[in-house]
Amino acid sequence: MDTHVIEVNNLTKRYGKLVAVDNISFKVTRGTAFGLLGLNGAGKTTTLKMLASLIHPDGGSALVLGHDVVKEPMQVRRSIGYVSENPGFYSRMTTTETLNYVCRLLDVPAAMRKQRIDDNLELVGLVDKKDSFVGTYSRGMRHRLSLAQALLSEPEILFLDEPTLGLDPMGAKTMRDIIIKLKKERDVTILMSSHVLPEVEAICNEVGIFNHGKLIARDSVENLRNTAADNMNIEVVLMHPDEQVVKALQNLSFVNHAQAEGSRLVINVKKDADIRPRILEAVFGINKQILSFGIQESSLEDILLRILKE
Amino acid sequence: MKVLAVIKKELTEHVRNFKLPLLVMIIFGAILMALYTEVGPTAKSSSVLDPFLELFLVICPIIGIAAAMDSIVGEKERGTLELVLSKPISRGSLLYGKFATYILIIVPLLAAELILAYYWAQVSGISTLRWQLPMPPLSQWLSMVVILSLVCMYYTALTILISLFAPSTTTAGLVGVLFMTPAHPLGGHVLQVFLRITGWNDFGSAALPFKFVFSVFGKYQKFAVTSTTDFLIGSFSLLILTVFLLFVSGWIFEKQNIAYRI
Repeated sequence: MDTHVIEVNNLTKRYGKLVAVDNISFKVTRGTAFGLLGLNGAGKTTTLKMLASLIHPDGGSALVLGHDVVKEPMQVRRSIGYVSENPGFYSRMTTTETLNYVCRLLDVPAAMRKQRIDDNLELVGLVDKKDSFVGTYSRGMRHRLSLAQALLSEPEILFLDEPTLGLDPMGAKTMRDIIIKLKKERDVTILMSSHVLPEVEAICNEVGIFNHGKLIARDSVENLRNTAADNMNIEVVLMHPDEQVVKALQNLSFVNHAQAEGSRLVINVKKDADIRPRILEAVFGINKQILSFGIQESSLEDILLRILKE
Repeated sequence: MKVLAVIKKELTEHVRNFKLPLLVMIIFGAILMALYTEVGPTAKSSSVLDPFLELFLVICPIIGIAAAMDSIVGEKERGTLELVLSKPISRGSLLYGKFATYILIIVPLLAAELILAYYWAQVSGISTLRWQLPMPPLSQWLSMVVILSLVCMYYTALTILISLFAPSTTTAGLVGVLFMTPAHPLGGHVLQVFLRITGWNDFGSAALPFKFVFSVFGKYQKFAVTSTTDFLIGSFSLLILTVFLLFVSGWIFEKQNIAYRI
């Protein structure tokens, strides 16, 4: 049996002159969680929509469970669950009515519908809202309902597009916990897009980093974590913001990246005790008004920023 | 059948929103106007049917437009199109399911209220006391009901097509109203000018292919109710145009690169 459940080859999507997704290729292994990382407008959502056969690609091909997303869209949709970044529902329908409608669209046999709806509502914690109108739902509840409807087909692959977008910290945590539970308890492959790095770190095994429609890097979360551990951040606070200092630091060969937030500078460098005096020397050479100098552990965010910068 | 799932869902939703009571009120209000105000037949009218037709041939397009203006664009506005189309349902099934629901709601309501109005006019004696005109035979009244139902269907299908491209529900409604030109007096005037130019004395003597086009004009629809041949031509033409519009809409929708959220 093929271990790759998603195979993307030179996939491209254009909107007029804008190339939203530019010739990307990657594979996703069965049972894993693959994260599409990138800034807003990087092409993550467009990629997910093409793989869910919601929009037609302009070039390349993609197979989902061996089905071509253009030639066999119905087979693709039958075996996936899709959670959109901004889930919309019919406000004048109750939770059960909404899920029953989705069951009918998915050809779930009538005898199995009730059980399946109940199971998924229990998983997402909405059992007590069965008869409530969806119009009365909070944003967090809508996201959970969106996950419940995506699971009605008992999908082999789950597409999650920014699953915690716009949720408060509590709502985001609940959603994240449900996804992690799903990953553990059900044999489901996850393909999710996000720019929330702790979320990707907690859920995914592997990530692909998108920038301007291109897949510029892909690696396991483990490797990225190790790379992050090899780096550190040095924080320097000056009396006043100084552009010259930032430019000088950016030109140093051992500096991965340096950015200023007002008078606070964050310099990402390879972990090495010798570097600290050299940084201090470089800053001091231009601006002697240093208020503080400190060290922080490097994070996945720093790695992402570095890759995007490169 | 996915179309049936769409119909059931649409009916559930429509029963709960403002559209259904509004539709009942519009038709009922129009019937009251026709029965009891100067808008309806008077002693000076040539027949009871004429004023009824004048009124309903403008109201029926509005009903069709109001029913379908949010059909597809409304789903985009609410963000529900993504929910539906990520499931194994063809876009055509969604569109045809919506059309079928609108027709299932509009046509029985329109027909029932108009037939009730016919019997009310007879039982209450309004035709002789107020209008001093004989009631037309039921068959002619039913011809009017058929033509009006077909007009509703035509404008519903047309508005669904508009809704595929419209950036908002309001725009779909407004563009639909623009396409209503053949239904109101301006359209009727254009048609009369055309008849004068071609030298045809009336609609009856016009060539068949022209009648096919005329069928969307209120003036011709009014004429068709009184002539068996033209009733058949007009009804058939409206039906063909409606099916054609639906087919084109389904084809475009399948090919369209959809913006799922607006």
